[in-house]
Amino acid sequence: MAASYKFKAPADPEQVVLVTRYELYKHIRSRRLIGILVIEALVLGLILALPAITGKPYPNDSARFIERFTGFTSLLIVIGAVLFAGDAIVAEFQNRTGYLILPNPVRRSTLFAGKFLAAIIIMFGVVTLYYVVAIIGSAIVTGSITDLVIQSYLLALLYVVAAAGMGFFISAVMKGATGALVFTFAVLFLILPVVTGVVGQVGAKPSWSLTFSAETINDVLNTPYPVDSMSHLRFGGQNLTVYNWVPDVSTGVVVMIIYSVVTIALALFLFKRREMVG
Amino acid sequence: MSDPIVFEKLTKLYGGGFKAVDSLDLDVKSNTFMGFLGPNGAGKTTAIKMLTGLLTITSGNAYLNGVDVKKSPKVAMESVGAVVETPEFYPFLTPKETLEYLGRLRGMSIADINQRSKAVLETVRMTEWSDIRIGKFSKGMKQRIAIAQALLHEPQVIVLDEPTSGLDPRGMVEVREILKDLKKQNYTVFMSSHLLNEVQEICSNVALINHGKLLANGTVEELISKVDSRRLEVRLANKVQGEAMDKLRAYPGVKGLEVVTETQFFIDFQGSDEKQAQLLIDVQGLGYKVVSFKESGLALENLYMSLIDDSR
Repeated sequence: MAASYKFKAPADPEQVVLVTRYELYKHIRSRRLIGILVIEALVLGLILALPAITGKPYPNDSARFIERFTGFTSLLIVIGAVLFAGDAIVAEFQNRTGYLILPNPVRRSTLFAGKFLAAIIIMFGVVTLYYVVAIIGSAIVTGSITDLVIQSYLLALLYVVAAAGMGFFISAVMKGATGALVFTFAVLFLILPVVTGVVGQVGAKPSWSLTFSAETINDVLNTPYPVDSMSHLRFGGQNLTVYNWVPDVSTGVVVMIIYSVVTIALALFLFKRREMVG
Repeated sequence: MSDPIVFEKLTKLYGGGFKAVDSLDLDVKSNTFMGFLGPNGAGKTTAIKMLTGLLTITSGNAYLNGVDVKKSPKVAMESVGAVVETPEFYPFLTPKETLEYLGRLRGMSIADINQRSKAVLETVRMTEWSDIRIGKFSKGMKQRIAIAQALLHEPQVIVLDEPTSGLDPRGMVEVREILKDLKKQNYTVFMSSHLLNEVQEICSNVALINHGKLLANGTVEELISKVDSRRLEVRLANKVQGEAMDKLRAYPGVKGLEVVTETQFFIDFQGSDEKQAQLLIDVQGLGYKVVSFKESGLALENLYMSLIDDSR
């Protein structure tokens, strides 16, 4: 039995709070947070300024006004997932900071939880700021704020968790930080949307797709909620059927939850097993 | 009461069947400064990484203060301070903030952290850098901070993996001075190294491994006393003569002769101190005017070389 020692490591939940706090320091002091805030400011500035510059009127309906913003929410979340989750695990191994933090009385699951919480807190902050500007803009321009914006905001937060989970999973699999960042962006911005588009156009509704489910963030602002549709085109002497699939909100929520749970569980499993070699 | 560090049949098997550590049995007694010696690839770092939870243990066990590191890694690491390889730091934190982070993870109060941070930063001579972000620090400065974090909580056991590796000569001297200070205090230190002079200078005990197996283990004095093979450097006022050299080659205990210049040669000699003293008299009897006759290299080096050669 071990001799009693003067300092006893705190319980896991207390350590999770500590790790989260220091991970937040990292994000707050990093150029990445400045980078995403600059991107956010540019997007907000363009959406707000373009109608004035081009002389076109602003929508006078709150939902239509906010829809202009929510159209870019997914992109903002993907960028956030890349910057704050894409190399969260692999960087500890590649940058050798694991040699500092791992030989301490702290479980890897605690480190993982702290890192994940910090990533989603920062991303929640970025998304919340975005919605606050959109809501204030709507109040000023249209004189009203649609209730549907709350649904859109909650769906956006859920997508943050799922996208961060995907980032952590890729980060736990990859050997290099740069590769992990690029691959996270590619999966969420290119690979999944392209596969979703291709599957959709062969007639199968891509309800399984994370990025398809994330379209609910924007669709939910429509009244009535849009439905699936198809149109027939004649192109080069051939009849073509073009499908316009719309994700169901409930299915989308379930899919995003499943992606969150599965990617987080896999990422944690891989992080706990990963060896500090080299 | 169990020893602070115990390896029981510790084994690490990598893909392809390569055994980096092979049934290693070793006990590190309380308040000893043990050098863990071996050539590159001997399995030193692998054993330390398994001890500190950085690598999984294939079979066998490792205990820290009696706690199984496989079953209870969190508890096992509570009373241990470790510097494994050359750790990197979070560049956005200062040394003070880093120590605060690690101290709080270990359950230290802010008052304890402040008091100990001041002390350990002084020990590693980094006080003036305590509020500057680590991002731009040199490797030597980072290594000193790494040692500071290992000492922060006044651990019962300190594990150091080649602490002077990769440092410039000045950095090596500075870190060795810190290690000598540690030796004077009441710590149990387990330090891997392949630098024999470092181990002979600092450590009280030595464990020697190669190919993942323990070759020798004991106090430095015990091991050195076993060494009866040494390399002698002889410098003359007159020139080396062929006939006299042939006689020397046939001398009992002389295992080899290497002529370096017209007035200098080396003898690989195996025998007691008495026989070595007689050899000097006999070399002079051969007509050589001996200017200097001294052992070349360290006793530990001779032991190391003979054991490593035998284990090849």
